[in-house]
Amino acid sequence: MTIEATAPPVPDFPMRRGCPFDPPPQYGPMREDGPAFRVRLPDTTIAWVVPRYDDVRRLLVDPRISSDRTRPGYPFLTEDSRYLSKVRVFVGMDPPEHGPHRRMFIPGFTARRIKALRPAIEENVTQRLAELAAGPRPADLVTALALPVPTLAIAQLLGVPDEDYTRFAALTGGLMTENPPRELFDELLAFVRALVSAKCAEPGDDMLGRIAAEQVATGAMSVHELVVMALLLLFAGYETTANMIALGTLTLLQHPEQLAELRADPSLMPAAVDEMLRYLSIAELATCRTAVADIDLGEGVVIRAGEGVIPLGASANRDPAAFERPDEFDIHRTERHHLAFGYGPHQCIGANLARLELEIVFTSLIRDFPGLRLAVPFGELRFKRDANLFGVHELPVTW
Amino acid sequence: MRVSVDTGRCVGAAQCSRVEPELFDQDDDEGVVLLLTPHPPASLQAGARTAADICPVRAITIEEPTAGFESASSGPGHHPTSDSHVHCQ
Ligand code: HEM
Ligand code: SF4
Repeated sequence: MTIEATAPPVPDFPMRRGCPFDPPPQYGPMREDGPAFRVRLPDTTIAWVVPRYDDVRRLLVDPRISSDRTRPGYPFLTEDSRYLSKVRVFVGMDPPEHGPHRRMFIPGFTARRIKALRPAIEENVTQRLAELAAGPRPADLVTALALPVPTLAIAQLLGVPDEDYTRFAALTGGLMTENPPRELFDELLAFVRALVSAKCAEPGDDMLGRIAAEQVATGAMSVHELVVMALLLLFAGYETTANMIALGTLTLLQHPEQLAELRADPSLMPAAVDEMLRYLSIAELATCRTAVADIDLGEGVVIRAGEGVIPLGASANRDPAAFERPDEFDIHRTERHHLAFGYGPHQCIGANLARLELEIVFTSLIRDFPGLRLAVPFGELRFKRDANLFGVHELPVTW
Repeated sequence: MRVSVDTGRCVGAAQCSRVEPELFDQDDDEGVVLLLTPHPPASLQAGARTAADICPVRAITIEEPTAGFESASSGPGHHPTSDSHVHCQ
């Protein structure tokens, strides 16, 4: 018998969820069986996945892994991600190059800047909820609330002028439909190009304006790079937050006692939002890497230089070695170390903006709609099972 | 307890200032971490440890004056970081 014949078959990856609230069922046994496993990606290349909390966290700060999409071996999960890799932005850079590029954007995300967005986000949520209340029942919470909230937040962040907002919202919303037409993407690209050109011509005191004045004007960054970065911020911050709003609402509806507690005491909301992020871990496939040197994970497992590595944040966030009763949704958890925003130098730059949006949305929604409930049986909900960012297509609710 | 921050490493994720705003702030222009005092009072020490544990680039180092801590810069009792210093006085 040859060694090949006895080797276990290499499973396909991404693995898919069974219960929409839980990571793929294979993760639990993998955590027990070893530090890393080979999987077959959609393009048939073989890469490693890493299931345990300690290993995931250690790897994501390890200088021996790279986010550089141009390195051979980088594990692409879709053709779209391969397409995006052709432009050099900090998401795909490694230290020490990554830091200075990321730092151009950090001033736009400081606690003070984010706090300054609160009134606009709150006003938007209030308006959306008023429209929802006045409209027909049942209603789809995804189109009524989950998409409009991050649309406005990102428009504010990018400094989209008020008169262009309706068009911006139509373009981004259109891209969230299933199989959006290609022209819509081109239109959005043209929109963002025009926006960036305007910022370069007349830099205001917003994030893009400041980068235009300090980086583009001095030649440190090209107009094209800034356009790509603006698009990336849009893509990174839009569907992620929207999916969390819809799935987070669903999670609360499934846990009516905790929902009642949150309604009675909104000061519990920040911790509840972090628990939703941990429990749902919708974006774990964002952390794809390539090993640039051999990495010995112990137990006889060595990842070789040039091999793809995908640390599984959703698995780490359910690791009993890191969280007590990891599969329970519990808003009273005090641990703060979940990895839903990643870890290491690429940890989500928009984490505190996303948290703010989620806190405002859930607080207002459960306050204003005490009778909120699903309008269809749970089994009829359509989840984004094949997408690399988990979510729900529609959330029909009534009240 | 002595706290230090490596602003060269900081990626401005503002996890620390969210956990313990009375100890960590952010530079308005650069967005990197600002340590308000290297010697936090007892009331801020638990927050300092949590911040050191969750900082995604381990830019926060904590030195504990007393022996007996397994992992000085860790949060709720796990994950000693390689760059944490535990020493006796
Ligand atoms: C709940 C919502 C969100 C989730 C779950 C999420 C998740 C993540 C994760 C897991 C990463 C790490 C990727 C990696 O390690 O390569 C990441 C990075 C990033 N996120 Fe988010 N994100 C969210 C919201 C946002 C928002 C609102 C923005 C901005 C408007 C944003 C912008 C970014 C950017 C630019 C990066 C790349 C950072 C770097 O490479 O240094 N995200 N996000
Ligand atoms: S948590 Fe770490 S990386 Fe983030 S702001 Fe604080 S010191 Fe910097």
